[in-house]
Amino acid sequence: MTRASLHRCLIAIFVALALCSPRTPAIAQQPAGTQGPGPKRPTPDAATFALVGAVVHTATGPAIPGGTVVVRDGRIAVVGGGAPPVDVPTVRAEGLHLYPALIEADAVLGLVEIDAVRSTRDDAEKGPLNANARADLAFNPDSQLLPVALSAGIMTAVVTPRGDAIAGRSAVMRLSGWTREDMTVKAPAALHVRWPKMGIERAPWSTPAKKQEKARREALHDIDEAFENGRAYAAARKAGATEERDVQWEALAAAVRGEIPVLVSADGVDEIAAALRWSEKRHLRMVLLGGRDAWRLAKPLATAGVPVVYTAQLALPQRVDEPYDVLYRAPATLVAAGVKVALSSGAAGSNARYLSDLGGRAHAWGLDALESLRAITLRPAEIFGFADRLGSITAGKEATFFLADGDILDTRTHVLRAWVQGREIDLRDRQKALYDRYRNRPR
Amino acid sequence: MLVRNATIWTEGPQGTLEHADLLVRGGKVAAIGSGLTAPAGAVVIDAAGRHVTPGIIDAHSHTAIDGDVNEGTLAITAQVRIKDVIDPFAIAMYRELAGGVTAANVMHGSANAIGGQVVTCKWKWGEGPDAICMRDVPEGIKFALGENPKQANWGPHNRYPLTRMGVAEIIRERFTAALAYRAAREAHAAGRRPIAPRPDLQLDAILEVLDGRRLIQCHSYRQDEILMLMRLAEEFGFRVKTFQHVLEGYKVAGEMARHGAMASTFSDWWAYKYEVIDAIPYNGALMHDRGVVVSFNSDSDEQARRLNTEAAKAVRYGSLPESDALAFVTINPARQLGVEKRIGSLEPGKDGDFVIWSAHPLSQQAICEQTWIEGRRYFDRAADAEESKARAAERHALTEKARHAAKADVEEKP
Repeated sequence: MTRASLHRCLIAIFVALALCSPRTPAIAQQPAGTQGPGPKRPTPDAATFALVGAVVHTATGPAIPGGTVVVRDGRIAVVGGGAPPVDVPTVRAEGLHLYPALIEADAVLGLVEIDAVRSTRDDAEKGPLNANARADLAFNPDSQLLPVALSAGIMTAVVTPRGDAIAGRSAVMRLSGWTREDMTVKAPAALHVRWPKMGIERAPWSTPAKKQEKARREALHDIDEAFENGRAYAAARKAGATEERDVQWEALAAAVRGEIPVLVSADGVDEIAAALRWSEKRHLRMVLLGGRDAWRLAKPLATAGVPVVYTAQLALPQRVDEPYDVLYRAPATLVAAGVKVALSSGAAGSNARYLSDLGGRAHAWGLDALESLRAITLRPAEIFGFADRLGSITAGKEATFFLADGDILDTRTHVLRAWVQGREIDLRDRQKALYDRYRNRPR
Repeated sequence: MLVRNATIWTEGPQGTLEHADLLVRGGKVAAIGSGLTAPAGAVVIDAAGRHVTPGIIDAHSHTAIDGDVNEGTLAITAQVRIKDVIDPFAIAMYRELAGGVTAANVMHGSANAIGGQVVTCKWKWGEGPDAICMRDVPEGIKFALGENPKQANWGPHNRYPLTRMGVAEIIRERFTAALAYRAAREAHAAGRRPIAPRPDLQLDAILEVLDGRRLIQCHSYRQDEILMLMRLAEEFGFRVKTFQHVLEGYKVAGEMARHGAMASTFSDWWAYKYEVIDAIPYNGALMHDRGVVVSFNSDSDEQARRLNTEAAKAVRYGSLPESDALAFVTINPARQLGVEKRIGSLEPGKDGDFVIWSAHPLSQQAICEQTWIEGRRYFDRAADAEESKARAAERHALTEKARHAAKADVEEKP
């Protein structure tokens, strides 16, 4: 079969799926990926229903065994242990676990399709000053990577530009929808700054120390000057200056005014400390991204009220003499010091799907189970300012959640069914289609 | 030594036993069962509530290589050997021990079609390279197909081959040259040729491959190239031992099983380059289902530290029985390296290489507490915590000393 005819075959499957739509979808008896035709599509009015019998992991408090979640018009109306109302269809989910959709806090989903193919990459713009760059404008709603992330329970992602210095503005995107407009939850979400290297390399092949110092001074100056210009611009606009308009300063002004947080990418102690000092001087709402050595600065981070999107859990310790498990324990260390922590793989979009494993691992290495779940649900929503809509199973929030056959923090668990804004989504993806096709290859 | 009262995943004929004991004598497994008695003077570990598995084996590692991983100057470098460049003090080795890894297949990279001679190691951290490289076991060789040997993603493109056509042909050409080299040697030995052919280390290694004495570990992705190498091997009368990565193996799993090739794959990586666009996390389960011996490997000093939870992905994607999934990082990689009689499962007579886990080994909650090789403890979590404290104190003392010295320096200046 050629690639083209495989695509035709996939389209045929999708069309067939779209045509069958029972009122109350039956629970898949088998784990996702082992069933035949996949979950059935709900009827268009399915945004109102009651989900009954599951262990409801609200992410706000202890799980509710045998809970009831009532959804009206795509929003969660009631969460509790009572009987469902009689006027809505019910989805029975005894023995299953309901979780708020996972949130990937540092993604390139939709910006990068295949890492090694430049024509499919839109994650890093040229030059040190791209405050105006917007990830949502380059987001590809039909990326093959999105359904695969959905299959892992990730339904929202903070899609972040990856350039140098001032890289651009991220956007909170739904991974299911029709266009980048209806998939945008929040844009811009944050301004992203990649902190320059503070250390001086003294290897035989390194450029002379003086040159390195000069480059560092210039890089820091460029970042600071840009923010100074943004501040001046904001002040001038406030004072009524209207003629001069500039897209860079416009974008920076929003961060200077504190309308959006400034995500600073930094890993080393020196870089994190310098970024902290700078953001305090400039009165910015800083969030640390990456943060490999953040555990060494847990106290100052907590004191400054700087949250961390921690992506270094699975990095190798930086120094030979560091404990082998120091980065495994870092999320627990930070939380114990009073830092708000979201976890992310920070990895290629294709690897975003192991986000739940990061929660499980954080729990194994000292973070309590509830906080580990929050680190991949509620915390990212709070840090990026959309916790009023997503991140937990709470009355008033969007009915964006999924059913699993066990503890989502365990790798052996399967995601079975998922809803976005109260509508059940199709959890088929390219990989499951290939699986089904080749599983049925004659022996 | 005796480990008592654990859940023991033997990955051998005894299956998984609860409340069981493991007796290791003289570095070998002596017995597994319940109510075993410790010989006088034996170390006894009470492992109630713990799980014991065979030592994890990483079928695709670049750990502990001193210097570059690729001899990428030529397309064929069958003569170079990893065992010449093993660094026995690599900290990565210790970190992998802390994740339960006891053995690894240490290989060249995939920059060239034939990368060199690889070595199966036991992670006896801090001992000499001779102790680390396993002796009296089959030796291997790294082959590579597809984008990397054809330099798709790196330059300067001045080296043949640049296509999958060329990759196939350069291997065929070397196989052919090796047979000619042997014919010339035999002709000389038989007196039909006055001068012996010049000794050729590269062709010597390739002859071992053709004779089935040196096992191919072949980096590969696409189904066409997997078939290409199998058919080429069949033509020359030998078999490919193991395809590495082999992310489209699921498409030709039947062909692989019939050929006798095994598969060492990634659990769930994909989309990092074009040739892995059809990679699916069900690959391992699908190949396993068609009778291919499958392992999950790391290809990474980082991921090697958590291969137990990589194995768990065979449960997530493909719903494999747990013991089959654990086999992906224990007995199956041992088979792929031809060392299944020595390691990979806990059976009387085999090496006493095992791990004590705090919880179910496929669970994210499993923390490796102790790692043993041939009845000797190479990692102990409690001891590690003590050593960490001591190291931190030493570091602090040294930096303080340096600070004082620097201060004194400044004060002395006029």
